[in-house]
Amino acid sequence: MAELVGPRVYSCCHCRNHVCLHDDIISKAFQGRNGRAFLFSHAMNISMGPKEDRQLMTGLHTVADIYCRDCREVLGWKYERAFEESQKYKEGKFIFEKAKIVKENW
Amino acid sequence: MRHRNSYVLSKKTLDAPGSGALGWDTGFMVVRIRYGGGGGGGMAALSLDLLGQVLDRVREPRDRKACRLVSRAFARAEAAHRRALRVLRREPLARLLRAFRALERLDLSACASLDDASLAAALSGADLAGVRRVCLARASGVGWRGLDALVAACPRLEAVDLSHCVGAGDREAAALAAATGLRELSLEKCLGVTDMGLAKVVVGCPRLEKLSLKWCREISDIGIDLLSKKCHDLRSLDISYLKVGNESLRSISSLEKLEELAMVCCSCIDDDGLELLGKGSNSLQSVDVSRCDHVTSQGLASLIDGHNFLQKLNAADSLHEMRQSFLSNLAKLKDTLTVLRLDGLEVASSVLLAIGGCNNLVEIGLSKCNGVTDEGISSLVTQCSHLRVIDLTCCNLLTNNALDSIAENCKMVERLRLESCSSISEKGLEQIATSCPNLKEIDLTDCGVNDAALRHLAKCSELLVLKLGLCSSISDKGLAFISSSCGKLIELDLYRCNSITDDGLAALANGCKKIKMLNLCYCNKITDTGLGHLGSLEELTNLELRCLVRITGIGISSVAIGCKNLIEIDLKRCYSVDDAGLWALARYALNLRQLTISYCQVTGLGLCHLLSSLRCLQDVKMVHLSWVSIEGFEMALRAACGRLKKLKMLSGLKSVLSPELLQMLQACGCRIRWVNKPLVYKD
Repeated sequence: MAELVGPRVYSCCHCRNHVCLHDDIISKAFQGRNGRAFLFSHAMNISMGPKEDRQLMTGLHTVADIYCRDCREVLGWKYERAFEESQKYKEGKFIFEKAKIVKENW
Repeated sequence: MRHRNSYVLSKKTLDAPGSGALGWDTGFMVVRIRYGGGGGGGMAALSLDLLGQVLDRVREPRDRKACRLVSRAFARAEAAHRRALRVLRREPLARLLRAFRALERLDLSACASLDDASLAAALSGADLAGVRRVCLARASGVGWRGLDALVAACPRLEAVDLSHCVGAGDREAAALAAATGLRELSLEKCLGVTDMGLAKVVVGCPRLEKLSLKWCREISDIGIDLLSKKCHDLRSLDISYLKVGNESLRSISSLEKLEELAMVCCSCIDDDGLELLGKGSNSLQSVDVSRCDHVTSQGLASLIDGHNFLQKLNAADSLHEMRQSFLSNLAKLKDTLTVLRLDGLEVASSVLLAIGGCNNLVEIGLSKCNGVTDEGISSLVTQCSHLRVIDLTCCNLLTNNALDSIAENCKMVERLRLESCSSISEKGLEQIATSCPNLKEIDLTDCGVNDAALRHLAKCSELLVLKLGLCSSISDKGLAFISSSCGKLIELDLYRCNSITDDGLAALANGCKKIKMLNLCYCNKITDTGLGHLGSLEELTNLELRCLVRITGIGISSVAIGCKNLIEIDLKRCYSVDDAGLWALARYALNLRQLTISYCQVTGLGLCHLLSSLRCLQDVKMVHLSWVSIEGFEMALRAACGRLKKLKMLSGLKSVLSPELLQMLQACGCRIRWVNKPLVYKD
């Protein structure tokens, strides 16, 4: 019996490196630097920039920009720390901007 | 008293039976027949055949159904002339096939739990000499035995759609190969088909004109080569997602009649292959190389070189840069090119200026293109006044100036995608609404539009699709504007427009009676009252209500009772929906095929009742049903075993549900997706 084609993958818009899975989406209602962004529980094939404190729409957070490991395109950021209780759920999760990722195999 | 039959130009929907007026709109011919009072006496003057021909012109399925119910004569005439049939349940299949003698198109894709035995049995008694097109998409229970029976029963078979029958393989292909007159075949996602099966098909069906092998990843260059040698009439070929390489393009370049070629995500194809294709003898009109990693603008340039009559070129998400060679060659297509998609490309204004040279462009795709500015758009649209479809998703540098340019130059625009163009506002939309009366679809997701914008958009009375997701400033007032004049609206997306209340839905139900798809996810002010208004939307088929924490079974009942055509409903995180809601669906939503009840407060009893009652239900997502016991799941799933095709459940259940149940589900063609999501309550 032939295997089903794998999970739904998103790729870096620039170099088509696989960076995250559709099933890992936690929320589709975030705002990135330039527009819509999604919150993912996992990411792959990315490298991280230095941690810095940033005042986002939802308050102060410690974030680190994430880059595509191959082409260094900035794809979003990772939440390292949230200072308000209600935002703690984001810690350890990743923001990918909609404009920076494309559907790969679906 | 008897009246003459009269042919009058008028437009009137079907009156109550016996009243004597029958009218419909065919587009350019309207007939009204009057007959005498006192029952259907005068109808005897109309022969069954004539009546059948008249009924042939009734297009809308609901109107046809109304016609069938007028009288036995009408029902007989309709049955004798019916050409297309879509069967939803397996039990009546045999009877239906015998009842309709003139069938040409048979759609069994939604026929729950169709399998070889029942298909073969149903086909055996029927006269299907006229059947030409059969759709078996996603009919996972049908295998080669059923297909053998189908081919034997339908000697005039021309088109078969077997897409997404993931278990189909070479044996199924061999069965289809016996249909020598086959002209169109879709084997999309028939994962088991290999070069062997394809070989049988091409030898058995040499008259193939349209073939899709999308996702059949076992197929190689050898299969494509044989295809090219045998099927000279091939007009349209889809080899998307296959692992075939440049040699396949060499073979394909010999197909002289080929007009349409799709090679989405063919990562083994590169510029050399495109060059081979460019040198070929095809009459290519449409080429799709989207997501092909190794294709560059150079390869496309050489392709265009050889095919000066290209009409459609889709290179979305494949190119990294734009070379001058491509742009110069693009100029050769200035008369013929109508569709160009370059999504995901870094685009300078000079590129858009060059593209504008193709004055006959009808569709342009620039979604997620970096560098698209107002100037670039202006230079494009001033040259391309025939544009009807413009995709500018995520072109966040654009402002109202771009909309002004479009409004000024592209008066015929029908589809405008502006998701995440956050700098636009109601001023730009006012220009569009005033100048572009043909606007049918507009996507303003994440654009931050407000009620004033909707007041302007209300001028677009032809609007069919309106997407306003994430526009939290939209309120009931805005909806009232739209409802007052966009009566043709079919699809409305209000995802996370959390200022919408029940009053907005009241306006919608009043003014937009034709709505089929409605997204109200996270519009958490909505209550059962609002859903009560939705109950009057008889055309509603898809309804998304995620995280509407205030709605209960009462609201669900209103929708289920009133929206008789409901096919899909999403109730994820509707925490107040309990068994009463499921009971309402089980009782009234008889056409329901797709359901999401994750996080709802349902118990095993409610779930079991639901799954055993709804005979069309095929796709259920039920993650985190914390009040359902293991026994509850077992009973419920057993009740619906033969019908379910897709399930989504918490992975923890995989080890506690009985293995025989899971085996039974799989044997009946049900795919289960196990997910590992933490239990988190959102609001």
